[in-house]
Amino acid sequence: MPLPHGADLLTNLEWQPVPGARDLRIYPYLRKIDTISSNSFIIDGPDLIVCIDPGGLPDQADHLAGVIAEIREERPRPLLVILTHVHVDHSLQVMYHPAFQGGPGVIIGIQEKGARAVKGKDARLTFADLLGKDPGEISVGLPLLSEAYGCGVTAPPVNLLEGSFAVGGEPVRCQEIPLGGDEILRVYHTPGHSPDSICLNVRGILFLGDLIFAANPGFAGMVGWDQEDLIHSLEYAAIILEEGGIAVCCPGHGKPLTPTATRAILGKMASEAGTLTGIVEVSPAWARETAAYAENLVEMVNEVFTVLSGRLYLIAHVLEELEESGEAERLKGIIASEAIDRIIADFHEFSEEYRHGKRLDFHLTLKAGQIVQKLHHAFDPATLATVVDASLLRRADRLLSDYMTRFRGFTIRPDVESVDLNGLLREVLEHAGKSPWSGEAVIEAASTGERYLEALVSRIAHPPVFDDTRMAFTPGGGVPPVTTDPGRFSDLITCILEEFAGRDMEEILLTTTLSGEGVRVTIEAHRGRIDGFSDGKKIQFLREECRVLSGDFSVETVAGGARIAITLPLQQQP
Amino acid sequence: MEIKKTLNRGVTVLHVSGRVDTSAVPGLDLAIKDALAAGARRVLLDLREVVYISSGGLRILLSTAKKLASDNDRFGLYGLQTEVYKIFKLAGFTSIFSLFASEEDALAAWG
Repeated sequence: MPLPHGADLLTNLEWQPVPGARDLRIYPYLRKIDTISSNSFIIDGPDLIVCIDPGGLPDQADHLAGVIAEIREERPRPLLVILTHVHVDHSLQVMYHPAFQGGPGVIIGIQEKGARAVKGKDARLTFADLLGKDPGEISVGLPLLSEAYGCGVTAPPVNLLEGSFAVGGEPVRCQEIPLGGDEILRVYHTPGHSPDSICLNVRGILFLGDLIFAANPGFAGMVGWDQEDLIHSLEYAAIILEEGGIAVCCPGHGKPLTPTATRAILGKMASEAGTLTGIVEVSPAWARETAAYAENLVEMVNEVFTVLSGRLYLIAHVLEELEESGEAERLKGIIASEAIDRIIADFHEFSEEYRHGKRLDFHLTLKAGQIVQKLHHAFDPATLATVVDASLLRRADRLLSDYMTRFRGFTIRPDVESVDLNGLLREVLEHAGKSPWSGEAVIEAASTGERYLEALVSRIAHPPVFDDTRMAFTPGGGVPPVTTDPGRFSDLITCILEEFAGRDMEEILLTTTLSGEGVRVTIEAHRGRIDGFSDGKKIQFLREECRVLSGDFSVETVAGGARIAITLPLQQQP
Repeated sequence: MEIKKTLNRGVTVLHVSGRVDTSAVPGLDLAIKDALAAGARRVLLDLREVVYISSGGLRILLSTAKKLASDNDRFGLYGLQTEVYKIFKLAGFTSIFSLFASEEDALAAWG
């Protein structure tokens, strides 16, 4: 749906004069940000009409075609359709809508590399494969900024009115297209987001395409994305702004921006882009894997945050019973539980649409990225650490960070060191579910009055999860050190122990053995609720966590229980 | 989420089904408040068909336990599915609430 109003800078869906130009008008079609379709703009020039990015939706293209037909009826002129790049959210309607497919009086202008991509119906460079579209062919009448022309600064204007679309002379970073009278459309080559990305300048209105989104997770690493080009293009756009004369900047998605705001975004993007060395390619396979990971992860996030919030509600409830309502209110406020519930419900709804085929893998990865960022804002581990279980907080924080690492195209790198596994497991078992305040310490605090409330809160915040479960550990003899991330591994084991205790297992038995080329940790639980265990998302998540640690993971059900085996290699690569 | 109310030997039983997520929490809150306003002092929640409960749902349950804390009041839950039970256990709610396997078990325990 179009925005009711684009911004103060431009009024959406209305003709308005281009500031400072006597004979130019602009008609913006601004949309909320999504991956389905871009913004579109029509420029009404004295001798030429320009439509920038007809977008990805038929309704949008119908609307634009209607507006263009009206002004051509008033005064017939050629229409130049320019794409800021050939991704299908900008170009699909040029492939399929009759008004934009080229023909008499309609010329399609695309940067040369994009022109080659659409001629060959390239599903990767047009992003059609990720967005589930069938790329059509575009007949490009005007390949822009051709490399064939060398390295000049400004190419001679293209005189469309005379029907000659060839650009002669020196090659270009910038090209000029006359619109009639004194008006010029400047085209700048700004690759990085894609090899064919361009920016356009009409009398101080700078059209940015997707340049300012190019360092964002999910977009950085797309086929055709190039870190070095992007950094250069961001700097180049900043230079264009510094030269002055720019009044409004129009991104390919979302509202127009002031030059000041744009400059700040370009700077931030350039810094971000500088960190993106070695990211993986955003491909359909990446989207599929990341979407699956996102689904499992959000399920885990949901569990961890519900437990965290539940514990805080429980503490507040008990404190209210003890007439400590001031402290109870304070604790209720240290996590935004209702906001977190809403965020998670939003993702669940989106996931349901995904499972029913209404959303694509790529959409789910983006949605999960939004969810994770929102949760980061709603959750302050430092404040919560004064109250709730450190392991739970660590896990919540890591879940969010891990997703962002993968979503940004990086590989999760565990913080490995040489670890005595038997010693580490003893430590995990000793601390599992226990408050840092022992019963004796609480009694002592009560008798002296000092820090009594803190001790009490801590005891309630560590519910007796393992009290009904017998836990035993049989360390294997001669188990050599392994190379692993002790923090991650401890949290993985704690997560498994809690899963079993939460299922009311009567006993949990841990063993370590030297097995082949690694050390095997077996966690076996008996006599509890085992339904839905071995095929659930929790298991998929644990398996993935184990993979991060370069470990093997297996699970099997045994009578009334389950056995998980994790094998860590003796010599792991860092 | 759906909630149906039945009365069994003086106990108001609210049969809840579906997801008790953020959009369903007000409905659960209202159903419980309505039951209390109608004079119910023995309330049992049937959670056999509940597949998910959010922290907001847990908050409503705690708030109900607080309202039904007099000597003759009763508040309990039965039929928790494993995933829901696990959340209760890990959040520490199993030590606060009366949990039963079935409606009959609850009624027998409450006399």
